[in-house]
Amino acid sequence: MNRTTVLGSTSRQGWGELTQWPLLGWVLRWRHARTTAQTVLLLLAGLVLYDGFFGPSLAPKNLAGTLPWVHWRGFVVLALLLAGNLFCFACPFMLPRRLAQQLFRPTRSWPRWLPGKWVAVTLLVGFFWAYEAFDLWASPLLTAWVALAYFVAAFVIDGFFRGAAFCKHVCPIGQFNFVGSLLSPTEVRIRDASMCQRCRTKDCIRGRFDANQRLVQRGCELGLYQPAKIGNLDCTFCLDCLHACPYGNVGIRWRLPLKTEMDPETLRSGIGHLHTRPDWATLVLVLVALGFLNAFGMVSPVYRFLEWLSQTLHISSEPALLAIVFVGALAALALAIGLASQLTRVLAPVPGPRWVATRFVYTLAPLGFGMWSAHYLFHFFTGALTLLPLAQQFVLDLTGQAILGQPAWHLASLLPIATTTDLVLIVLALGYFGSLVWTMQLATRYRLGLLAILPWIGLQTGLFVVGIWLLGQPMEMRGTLLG
Amino acid sequence: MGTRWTVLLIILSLVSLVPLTAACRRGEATASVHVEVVAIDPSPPTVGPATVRFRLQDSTEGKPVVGLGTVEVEGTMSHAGMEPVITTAREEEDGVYVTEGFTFTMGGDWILIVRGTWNGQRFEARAEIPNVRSSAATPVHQHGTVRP
Repeated sequence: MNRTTVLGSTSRQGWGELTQWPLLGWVLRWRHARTTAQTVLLLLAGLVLYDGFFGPSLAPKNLAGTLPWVHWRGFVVLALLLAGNLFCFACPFMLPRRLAQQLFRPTRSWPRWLPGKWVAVTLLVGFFWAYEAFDLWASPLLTAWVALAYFVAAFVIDGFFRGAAFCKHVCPIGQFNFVGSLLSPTEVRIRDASMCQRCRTKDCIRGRFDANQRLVQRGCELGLYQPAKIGNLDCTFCLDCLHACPYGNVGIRWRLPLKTEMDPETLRSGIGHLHTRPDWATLVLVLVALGFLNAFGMVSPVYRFLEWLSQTLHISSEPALLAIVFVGALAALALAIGLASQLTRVLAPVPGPRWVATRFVYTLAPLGFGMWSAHYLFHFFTGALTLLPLAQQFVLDLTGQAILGQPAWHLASLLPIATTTDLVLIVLALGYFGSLVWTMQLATRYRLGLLAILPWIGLQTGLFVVGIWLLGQPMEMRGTLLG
Repeated sequence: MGTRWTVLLIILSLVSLVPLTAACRRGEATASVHVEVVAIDPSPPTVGPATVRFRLQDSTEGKPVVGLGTVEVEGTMSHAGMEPVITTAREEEDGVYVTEGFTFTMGGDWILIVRGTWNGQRFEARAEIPNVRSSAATPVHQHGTVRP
């Protein structure tokens, strides 16, 4: 096949493909684009580590107390909603991982007794419990420890196991990004399926080798074979497939969010059928529950609830009470899903409640991500400008001179609070809308009547109302004072 | 393989040693002046306008810091990204200063930062104001424990 011809045909894709855009397309296709983006984030991570260990103990005055919890989280959800999984693309934790791969040339496979997403699900629950129990957001030192542990974990795990074991099985942030990228307007995918059928080398998955059989370009380490890849799940936007394809048949293309993601029975490369993956179903359940819990942990009623729980159970330890709240919330959502599945089973001729649950649980993902986005964007829009006085103070402390000016501590909000409130409600509503669309799509797919999906619409509406209530509550921030 | 494991051990050892050097911190409150909150009106502190009285003392001898006239006061929270309350406090009596136009904008744990110039040197002192309530009905909460 003539590569020039292929590239000639791709140029007709125009604005529908980011990798064909003037300048941006060139940057994305540049072999070192990812490493450059990772290096930028590595430098920022270095600042977080430095300030976390050596900076002020007060979170609002420390880069480790601000950059990860206000800016990074805001940018992550903004990127997922407006572009794609850019923060897996630019993930700085992958640099030590690459070093480990070069040092140890691992050959072991990820253990079969730790399949799928179970480790990541456990870490997600553990992390968010620790986040609330030890007020990680109020402690730059603990934040730095978490970041350091992340670097070490990526290094050690991918030094032991081949492929992208850390990204696929361990990284909680990655799983959050994968589920969030269901709503992204872009996707890495092939341009021309017939070209892949004619391809014999399958470089996009195997990698490209030189004449001496030395690997010169990795293929997809997460096992996503481009012609059979569906949607964004498990895709880190690493663009290895794009660089490996000898025909330039892979690109980042615009799409209607969710459109290709909604059928749980589609065979997805590297994943299989979603309805046969209890780990993926649990991941969605956990992320939805944690999205609401994480927002609940920041509003005034949480303290009244904890007080009531403390009196009822005669437990005064906050970590213990929070563990009970976490288990309770996860169990409550699982119970609600089970109840909705049972009701659908009663209202429609479907095989059983398990059949329903393993297909419909995914419809909650957009609403859950809407809750996360509303929460994180609230912090981002109310605190984005704090970066300027922090940078001014940082330079002043380090150099003894106000090179960037005296710290302007009055700077905080990017948008007026009323605008922010409206915006986050719209984001939550968009998530709710996505969940409804997904539910309707499944009803069409399985020829179910409106009555049969009412339990799911009811569950989503109930969660949406809880989300609106949470966003309307007065915030109350209580944490470790002065370290 | 032995060399690789040695490299791994060296890297991990270096990484684990870095945090142990974290004793010296940038940007901490200067030690020359100590601030102590004397009274808050309303009490217990609740979201809304408030008057905070605080005492400034020499950290070494404990003598009241007098004659400053007004000092800069910043109220901030334990969570980053919140808009701080920046105002001034005037000297009311020997070493006791009272805020002007201060407002608790949110419930939770607040930190009072006082900045000024004393003996020709800039100082910054911090004090905690825990448990500012969103409303009078909000329970008291100590970090790590919940008190019925």
